[in-house]
Amino acid sequence: MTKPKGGKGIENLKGQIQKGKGVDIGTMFVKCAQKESEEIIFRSQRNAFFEVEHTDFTKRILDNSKVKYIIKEDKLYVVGDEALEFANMFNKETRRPLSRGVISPTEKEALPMVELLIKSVIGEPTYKDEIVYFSVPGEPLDADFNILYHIKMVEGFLKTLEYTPKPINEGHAIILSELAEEDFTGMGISFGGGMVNVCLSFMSVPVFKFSVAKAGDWIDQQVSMAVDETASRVSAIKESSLDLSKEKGLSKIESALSIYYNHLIEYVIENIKQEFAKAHRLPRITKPISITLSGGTSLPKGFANRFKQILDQLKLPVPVGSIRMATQPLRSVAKGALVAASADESKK
Amino acid sequence: MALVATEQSILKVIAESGQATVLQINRQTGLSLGYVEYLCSYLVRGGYLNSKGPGSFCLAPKGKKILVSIGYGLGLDKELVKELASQVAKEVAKEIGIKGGVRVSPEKEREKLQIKTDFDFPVEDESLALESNIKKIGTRVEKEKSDDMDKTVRLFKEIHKRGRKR
Repeated sequence: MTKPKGGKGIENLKGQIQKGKGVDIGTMFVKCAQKESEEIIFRSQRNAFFEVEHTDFTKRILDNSKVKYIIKEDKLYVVGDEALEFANMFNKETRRPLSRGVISPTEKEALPMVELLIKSVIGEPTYKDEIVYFSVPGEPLDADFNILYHIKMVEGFLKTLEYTPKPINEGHAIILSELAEEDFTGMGISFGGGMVNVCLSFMSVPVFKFSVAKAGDWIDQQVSMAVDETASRVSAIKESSLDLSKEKGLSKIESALSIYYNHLIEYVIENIKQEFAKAHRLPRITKPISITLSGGTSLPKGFANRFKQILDQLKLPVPVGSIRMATQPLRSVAKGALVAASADESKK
Repeated sequence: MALVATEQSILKVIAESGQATVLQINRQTGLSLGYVEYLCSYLVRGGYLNSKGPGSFCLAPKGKKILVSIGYGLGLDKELVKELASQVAKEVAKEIGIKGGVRVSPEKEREKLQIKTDFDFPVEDESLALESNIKKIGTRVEKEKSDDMDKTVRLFKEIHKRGRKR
């Protein structure tokens, strides 16, 4: 790797790659954002794997079909989107290196898998000690674990790759990506796979941030128990065809998904209300606050409307202005982390 | 785990009559039968309700505790109770000579403690032990125009500075 001492050499060597990277380390995807010329490039990997029989024949087939795999000792794992397809084919569940937003405590292959996936999307630093902001969940309100171990492991790993890593709250990253026109004042909510992350920010400074451990995976598990399907299959339907604005002609799985979406949204709003009640010195926000919704679980058609309807019933203790989906719900966390990294780099 | 408003409203309906069926709850709350059934079984699993035969429920001690904690069914104004408690606390504090009101409990003091040191350690790259074709196949790449990115970064720097000062 070339490691020039100054920034100028880099411009010549790598065209117009700008310094700083943003990484979204989510339960479902790992995604890295980097600015090159007039574009933002996003590189991503699905955070899932599935064990298949390890033979030379299987390996050759996977190579020929361009299916990503990882071999550890005598085990062969299919990685990425194809892991989900394999799981559905065998009517089994995928394995996940991250659980509830952090490195899975129960998955023995979690650490090497996460490291490999992060490394594959982030690559080598453009120069030594390049700043990278990586997303972290807020402290969970409803689960008995904290996020310090996860942050320290990711931070330590990024340092071994010769980056200068800095954590950024997932909800805060959404605000940096989506609420520039509102002076970074408002609320960012990320409905992810393992967690829902919420951040209220005033002039770019977080007022409160938290997470809850009910999210997309929780919906999949509840629906799978209710209708006796695998969670992987439920997840596939949720991601491909669920329409939350549809009221009639719903299949059994769609009805169950709709019920649990309602429950999750209400649960999140009630927790936001409690955080407002607990917050001591709230800044005086003169305008109604904007809310941006993001994350893979917010992708089904009609999600923002469903959120609005439930919020209208439950009401927050502050006036709410626009409620909108992020421009690119799967990219906003990485993009917000990139905004923070670019701002830091330009101070150097 | 905290209960949401819908779950609390089911507890209230059951508390009013001592025992209620799914149909009674459905009529009083306006929630669909299926949803009421689901929520009741969730509340039974969580220890908030006890089942009294098919489709009929009564409050478990944990459910009663939740209702008390939200001030339901006590016949007392929660704000009034708070105000009275605060007045009594001030008087007691005067009597025993604590300045500034109520003494902070050891638990509260402990909450305020902050860990100031950092533990920095190198993490081993365990992925080096793995064989993979990921690098060969590559990652999924998407692109978007970054028209407003520089403006956003500039604005963020300015506003963040102002926000921190306030």
